[in-house]
Amino acid sequence: MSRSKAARPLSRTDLETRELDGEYFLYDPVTDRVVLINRSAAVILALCDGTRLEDEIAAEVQRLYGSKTERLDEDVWATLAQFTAQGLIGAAQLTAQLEPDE
Amino acid sequence: MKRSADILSITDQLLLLAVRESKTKAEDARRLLEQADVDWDGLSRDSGQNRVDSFVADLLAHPSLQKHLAPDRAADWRARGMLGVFRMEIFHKRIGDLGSALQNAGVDMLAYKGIDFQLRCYSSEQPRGFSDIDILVAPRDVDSAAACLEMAGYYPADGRKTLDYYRRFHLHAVYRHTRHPWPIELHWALDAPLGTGFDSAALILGAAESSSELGPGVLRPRSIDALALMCTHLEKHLAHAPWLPDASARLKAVIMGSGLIWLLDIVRWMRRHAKATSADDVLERMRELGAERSYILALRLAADLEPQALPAWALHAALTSRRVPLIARLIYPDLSRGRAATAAGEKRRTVLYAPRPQWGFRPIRVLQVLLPAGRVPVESTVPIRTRVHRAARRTCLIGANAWALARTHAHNRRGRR
Repeated sequence: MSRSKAARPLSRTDLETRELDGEYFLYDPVTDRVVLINRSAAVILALCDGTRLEDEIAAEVQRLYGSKTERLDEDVWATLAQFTAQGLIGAAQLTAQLEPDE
Repeated sequence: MKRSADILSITDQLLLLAVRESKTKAEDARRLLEQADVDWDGLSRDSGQNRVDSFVADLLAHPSLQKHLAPDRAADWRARGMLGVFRMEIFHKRIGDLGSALQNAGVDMLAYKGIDFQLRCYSSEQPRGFSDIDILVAPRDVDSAAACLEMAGYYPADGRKTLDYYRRFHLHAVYRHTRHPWPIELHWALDAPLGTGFDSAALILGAAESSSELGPGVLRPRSIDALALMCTHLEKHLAHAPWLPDASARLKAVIMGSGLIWLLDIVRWMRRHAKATSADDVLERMRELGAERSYILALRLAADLEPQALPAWALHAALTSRRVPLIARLIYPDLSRGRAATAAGEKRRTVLYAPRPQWGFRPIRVLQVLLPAGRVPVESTVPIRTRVHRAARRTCLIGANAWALARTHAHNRRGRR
């Protein structure tokens, strides 16, 4: 199964965030766990406001970083997949459609 | 037999370095890391269990140690260090909310142990670790407090047992919350380690102070009471540790008992509050609360962790307490009985010996060690500064080496016969 690029990811509102020396610490009060992410990942997470499709998030990241490469798209999708796996993007709010791998 | 130096593993030594106040701790840690492979998983486990993650994280963040950590591991420790900061903020909010709810129900609630010591002795950037929240209410308020907890979304950790069961057979009940990982312990009496009677909840609640940091509905114990509560808690969980024969063994027992943070609490209390506290006040209050023995045992361990933190009066209290001279002598092996000269050739020699000169005792001539002349080398004399109980002045030797000197003397005497 893979997630459709038509998903509109929404980051959880109960996450606590703190920036220190260019690193971002996300605290999940449910699991009592801290996830350390870099600035680029923090930008991607901030764009997960439930209004943008994954493709749109990737395009926005490309615009922000002034580059347009296929690799960057893949990085954004991989980051979003990690966020999902770690529960940082709320599954209930996610409008992702699951579709079978071909 | 294992030598004491081998008792503490590399990870134990790193934990101790992390919590001690030392300007050379990073350099000492670097030497340790270069000596041998570190059991990083063991360090993570022991650091978490002893609730000293933020201190270890701070130590490992030192630039000189970075080359010894893989990038992933270094990032993991940075995250662990920050975890304590997030937790502390949420703990404060939860305890404040709960205090308001209980205040509205007319219940006085006292927050003590970890949450209280965090505010008392630690910074918000480098907090102590927590595993639960301890609150104390008067026995008559237990039902109201339990009802407030349940209204706030908490539920009994063991739903099979009723509150009445806990009231009959326990001194506290544990509550959990679906959205928070740590439990709240609702206490209505205080633990009485070894059955000495420490049911002093009313005394402590009666002297409690309001807390601006945690909100108007939350009381905190008086400074000395907070120390008494922590000493008693330490004895409850680490009662065996002070009786072990040397400092390494005692500290190892503390680490294995997951109690390093409680020891650090005692040391920090001494550093922060001892100057503003009278020795007599502390001892008198400990006696009122039935916590004198716990206090002396805790001092024994605190001296192992960081002797410089203990003021002279703390040791003085431990050594000269009329109520607990036997305990004091047992847990301070330095304290041993002297005797009169009996053998020909012996002469009385006064040895002034301060085992821990940093305690700054007042000079007295209490240590009259009977030595066969010329047989036992006497180390350089150090002025001793203390007031020692009159009986102890006549009969006791104090000093790290006094015991060894006395044994050597006995050996020499046997050899002469």
